[in-house]
Amino acid sequence: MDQKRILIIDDEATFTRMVRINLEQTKRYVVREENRAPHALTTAHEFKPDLILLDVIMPGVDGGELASRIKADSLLKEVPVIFLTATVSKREAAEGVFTGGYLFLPKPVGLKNLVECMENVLAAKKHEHDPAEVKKPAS
Amino acid sequence: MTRPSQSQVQPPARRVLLTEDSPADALLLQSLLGAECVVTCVSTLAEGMAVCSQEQFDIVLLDLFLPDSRGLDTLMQFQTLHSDLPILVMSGLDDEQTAAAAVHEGAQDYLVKGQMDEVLLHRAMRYAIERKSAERALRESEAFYQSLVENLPQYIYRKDMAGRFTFANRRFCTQLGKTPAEVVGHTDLDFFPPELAEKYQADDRRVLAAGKLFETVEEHTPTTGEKEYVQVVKTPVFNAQGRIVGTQGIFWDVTARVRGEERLKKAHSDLARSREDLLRTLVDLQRSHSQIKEAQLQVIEMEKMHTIGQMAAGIAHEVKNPLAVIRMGVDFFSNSPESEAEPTSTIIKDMQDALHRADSIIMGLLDFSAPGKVELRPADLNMLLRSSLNLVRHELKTPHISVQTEFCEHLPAVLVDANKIKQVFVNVLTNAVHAMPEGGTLTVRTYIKKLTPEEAKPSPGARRTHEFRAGERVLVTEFDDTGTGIPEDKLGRVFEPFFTTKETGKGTGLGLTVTRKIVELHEGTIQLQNQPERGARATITLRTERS
Repeated sequence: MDQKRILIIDDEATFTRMVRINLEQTKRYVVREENRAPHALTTAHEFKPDLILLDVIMPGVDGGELASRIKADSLLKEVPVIFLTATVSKREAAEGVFTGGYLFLPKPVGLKNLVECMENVLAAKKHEHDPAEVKKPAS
Repeated sequence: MTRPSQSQVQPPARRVLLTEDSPADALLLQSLLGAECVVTCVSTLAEGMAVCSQEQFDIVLLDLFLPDSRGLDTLMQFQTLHSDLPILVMSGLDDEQTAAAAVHEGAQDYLVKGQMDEVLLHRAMRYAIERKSAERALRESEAFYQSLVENLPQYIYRKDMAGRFTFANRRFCTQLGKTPAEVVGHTDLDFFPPELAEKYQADDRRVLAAGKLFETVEEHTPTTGEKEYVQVVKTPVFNAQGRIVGTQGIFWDVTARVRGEERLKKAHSDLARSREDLLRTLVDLQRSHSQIKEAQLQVIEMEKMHTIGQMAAGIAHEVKNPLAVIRMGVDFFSNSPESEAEPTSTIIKDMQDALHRADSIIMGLLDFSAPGKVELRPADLNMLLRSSLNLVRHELKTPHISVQTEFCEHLPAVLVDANKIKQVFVNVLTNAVHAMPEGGTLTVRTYIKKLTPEEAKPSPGARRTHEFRAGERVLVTEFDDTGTGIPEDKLGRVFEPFFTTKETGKGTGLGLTVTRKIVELHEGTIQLQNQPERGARATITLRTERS
């Protein structure tokens, strides 16, 4: 089975480790952690991810800024990004929201929910559909 | 009883000056006068006048024909010097006419020599003395009244039935610039302009017709100068038979008094106005003070909320990250083969529940700290309520709670943020369910009503994020439970953040705070009160119209 390459960028090392272990246990993903946001682009160039899981609030460079740089990067611009955030305050966030073309998932996200969302985004990417049209994950 | 002695009852002897040049007549008269009179007899006018100047007499018996004076001249001369003495003139048979003329000129009586006896003489003397005395009293009385009328600072006059002046005091005459003789016999038309004279005469006619006192304050504006005011009192004049024979008037200048009264009235009205202004200012001040106080309390509360909000957001962020780690960890274990076995399965389930609860608290904190923004769209409130009831249906099963809905089926569409309002409904419904741990009945009702002025007023202590107006149509949603109610001492605090009446672990203390915040974002109000019988009622009032 073709394993997808997932880069998770978050300053919480315990969280990225936990996500990595969980995702890798499914055997469907190869996961790379990056806890230093300023190094994220370099890591991404090197790792060549199929999908990036990105935290919003991080020291050095925040998630929003990083997403813009990814979008502007010729090598990475096609890589879909899912935000994982602890700051989503809207209740709707529990069901997943799209903002600025990105899917936001509120922490603490469940593994099942996370995998579903990732698969939907990857499927949409495969069909070169706009991520905004991707089916919302179940709550 | 002792009779008084002769000397005690006897009147004092009359002192009589007898002026008679005939010794025989003098003798006769002296004998007629008798012992009860002390008689001084002189034979000439000069002697008589001289003795009168030295001695006191009660009466003078005066012969008109004396050696030094004859006829009426005798009387005249005597009177010139001693006008206050009563004089009895004595005449002979041949000059009775002269004697009668003397009476006309001021003598009290006359007696004809040879025709008088003792009784007649004494009676004539007594009458003469009494008449003179009455005459003197009358004169004094007249002088008294004359002095009064002429010296009073008032203008006084009398008129006859035809309106002709019959008397005018000096002051009145001076004012008219006339002598009394020029005034008496004339009417108002002779002294005043026609309109004024006509008014005076009309007033007189009124007094004559009514027979009663008439009093007024007249206003005059002289051609030069300011207005003058005169107080006038007019009364009818009655004759001895009680018949009205004219009018009399008295008037005086009251300009100073009227001006004083006007100034007083103005001062009074100024004072009343100032008092009203002062009272109005006081009311404004009190209102401003209470508004400032209220605003101050709201600022303090908002500041408190803001601080709590910031803190909540910070805490939420910090807690959510470790929660995310735990969630991933729990998910890892729940996917392991051992997760099906007991007690691992129960432990994992409990951890998942705890995670869910912690996440709910954090979500509540974030909701609470979220910036106030709503996306308003027309919605059917009944449908939102049904959907919310559906969301809490699991909670209604244990304990058994029966739900009654009394929905007004003709509600207009209301502009709300549907998700946020559902959050409000779910919150209120959950609270109601938690208030009935032994089961009960939950009644949800909707209706429209027009607010009375009383209802439009903000309830005491309520936050004034906006105000309803009287007559405004509002949409009311009520949630009645049959639960334990809210302790009265805690009713005022239920909307405070982190305040809860639920047992530990059951409530975040943020539910009603967030609920109120959302309702206020919709310019609505929420109230919680205990019901008279049992249980509590939550009332949410929303606008049907927006400006």
